[in-house]
Amino acid sequence: MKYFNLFSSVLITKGASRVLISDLERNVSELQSLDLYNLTEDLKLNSIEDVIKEYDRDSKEIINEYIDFLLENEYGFISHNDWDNSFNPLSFDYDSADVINNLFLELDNFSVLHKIRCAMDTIDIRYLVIYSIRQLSKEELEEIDFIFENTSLEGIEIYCPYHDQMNDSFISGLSDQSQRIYKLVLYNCDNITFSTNENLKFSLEYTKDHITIKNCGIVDLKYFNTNNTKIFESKNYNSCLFKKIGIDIEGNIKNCPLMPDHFGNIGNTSLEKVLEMAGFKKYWNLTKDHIAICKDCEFRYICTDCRAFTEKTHQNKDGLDTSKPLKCGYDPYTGEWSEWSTNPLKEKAMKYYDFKIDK
Amino acid sequence: MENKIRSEERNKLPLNFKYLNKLGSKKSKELNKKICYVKCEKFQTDFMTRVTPFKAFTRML
Amino acid sequence: MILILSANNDFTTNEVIKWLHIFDKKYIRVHEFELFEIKVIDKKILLKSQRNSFYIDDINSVWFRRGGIKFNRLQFQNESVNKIMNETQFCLEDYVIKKLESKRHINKQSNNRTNKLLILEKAVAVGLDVPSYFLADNTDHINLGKTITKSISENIIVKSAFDDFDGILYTSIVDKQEDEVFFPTFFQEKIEKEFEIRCFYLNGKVWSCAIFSQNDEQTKIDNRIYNYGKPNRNVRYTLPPEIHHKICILMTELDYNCGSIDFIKSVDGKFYFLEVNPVGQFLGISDICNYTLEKEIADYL
Repeated sequence: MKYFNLFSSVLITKGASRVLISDLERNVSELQSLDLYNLTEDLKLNSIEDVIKEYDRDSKEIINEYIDFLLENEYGFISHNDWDNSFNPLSFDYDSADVINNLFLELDNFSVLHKIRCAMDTIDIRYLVIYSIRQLSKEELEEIDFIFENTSLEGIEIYCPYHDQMNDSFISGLSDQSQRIYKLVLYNCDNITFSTNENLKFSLEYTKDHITIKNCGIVDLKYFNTNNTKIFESKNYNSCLFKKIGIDIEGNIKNCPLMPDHFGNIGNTSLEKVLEMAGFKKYWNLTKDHIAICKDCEFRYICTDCRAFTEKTHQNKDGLDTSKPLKCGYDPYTGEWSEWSTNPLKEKAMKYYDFKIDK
Repeated sequence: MENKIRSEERNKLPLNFKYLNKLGSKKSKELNKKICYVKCEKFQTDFMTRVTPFKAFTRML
Repeated sequence: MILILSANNDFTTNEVIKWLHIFDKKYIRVHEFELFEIKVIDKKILLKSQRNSFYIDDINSVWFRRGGIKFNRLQFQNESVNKIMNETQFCLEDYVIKKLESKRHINKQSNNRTNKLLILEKAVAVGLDVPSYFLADNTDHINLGKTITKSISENIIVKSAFDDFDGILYTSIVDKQEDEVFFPTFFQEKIEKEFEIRCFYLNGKVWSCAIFSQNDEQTKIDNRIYNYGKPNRNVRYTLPPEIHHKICILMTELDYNCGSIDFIKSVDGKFYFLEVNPVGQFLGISDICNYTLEKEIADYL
């Protein structure tokens, strides 16, 4: 008898209408039918021969094709006489050596950056994400990087408006001077006065659009990530808000700068104190498995959640908003994507958040 | 794969030197070039690796 | 206070240190080129370098990762005085190192060199299966295509061996008869493998990872040859208890309390021991199997 063993680094996530196979070693995910899922479940309980026996002649061929598919993609291997029980399941526990993984700052005044720098003496922050409402000179961009020199901050990404001084020497000079900036996004960029050079220390993106911080929360295939850390985190914690801290334009400290609840102001309290405040972490443990509609979605562990903008339809017994993210246009029951902003069912929530409704 | 090492030496070398491989590939060299190191006083190192984050922290575009 | 002997650029050390901060454990990190002076203050031995200064009495545990404590040895004019002073300094240095090694530790500076030949002998003695091996300076009695050769040195990188690349001495199959005699070389029976197993050992605990490289011609003989297109499968694995037990005996005999150990599981179901590396890389298997070994180390220290 032959037995099929699924590799523990392959995760099959069942959705309402199909499954997602995520390969945690090759960092790719692919969509497959529910039939394939049912087969893999069957192969956990029965030998290959017994599984094939259950089907009529026409289906047998399809079953064999499925098994070939699983083997060709190295999603599993065959053992003889029994499953090979020396292969243990992967633990999906998530344990990371940081206090804050990312701080999302809506920047106007640089004094906030110095306050964050001071906080880093006691708490480790890995990444800093800055959305600037105003234009930044080359000196200011370099200063942002310089403030965090020699700290345990691993990287900085900056969103700021484009301005016409941003030419090649501006960009390459910044690349030479900066150390921690790994991503620079220029918005309001209607003419390009720089060439996109591949030898920069950071990735450079630009868009014509006027981006405001309220644009955040988009759910789209391009924002899906398949990797160990991502999946371990989203299986255990909220995939956006866990170990996140936000500071809005007024200096209010929040879990995310776009959420209403705030826990003091950077001017009169410390990040350390805020982390201990009741309610600050209330969304940290809310996983996609407990969010309406998302819990039936095959993308739930590779997608990043949003609690700032939701459809506002569900609430759990602790008063947490468990509604689907507003800016997701995917329907796991039909397996189809559509434009979220024109969905009439979302109009009420869009009005609540003051979003413009296009008809 | 012939290499210049064996012909340069006057003394004999073990046989496995005949099977010397090139270390790395163009691809790994390119990947290495992209690794940035930063100094970190707290961890007492001049070589903290700047790792690209595992997910998109914001989704504004 | 924890003493970490490592290299300035060692990524693994950084990852362990992040956990030390989470656990709020204090540590001193020593880099590879640091030179220490031995001083005495109030009858207590103080080690002092340009970066660090500490009493050896204040050290509770030591992690030997890379490099080690190196001393600035003084020279003296008079030859005879120099001889005596050399010995005097050696005594002090040796005392300091042995004192540090008597504390809770992960590996020892004085025992950081491996000898692949001796280790294989010990592995056989503790009852592990070892593919048959021998040294030879010719290929007369070699079963071509069924024998591998590899380096017995720890360092396998040959700088600038090629025009724009360094060279590396991977395990290779011997497939040709040689006419000439060569320098004594290590040969070993090639085992038909089902998969390889990389273990991480720390003080009696073993974490294992099976590496499936057999499907891939590129990595069949040496899994360190990396295939970017289709990486090997690395999955959590548990060794049979008797192998686990033998590993513990072997590591105790070798006086290593931490290290990476390689096995082959053969197609006929046996576990063949290949080698031990006390300062090997383990973050790869830690990440892929989600073992958080860096946390285990920080916790142990």
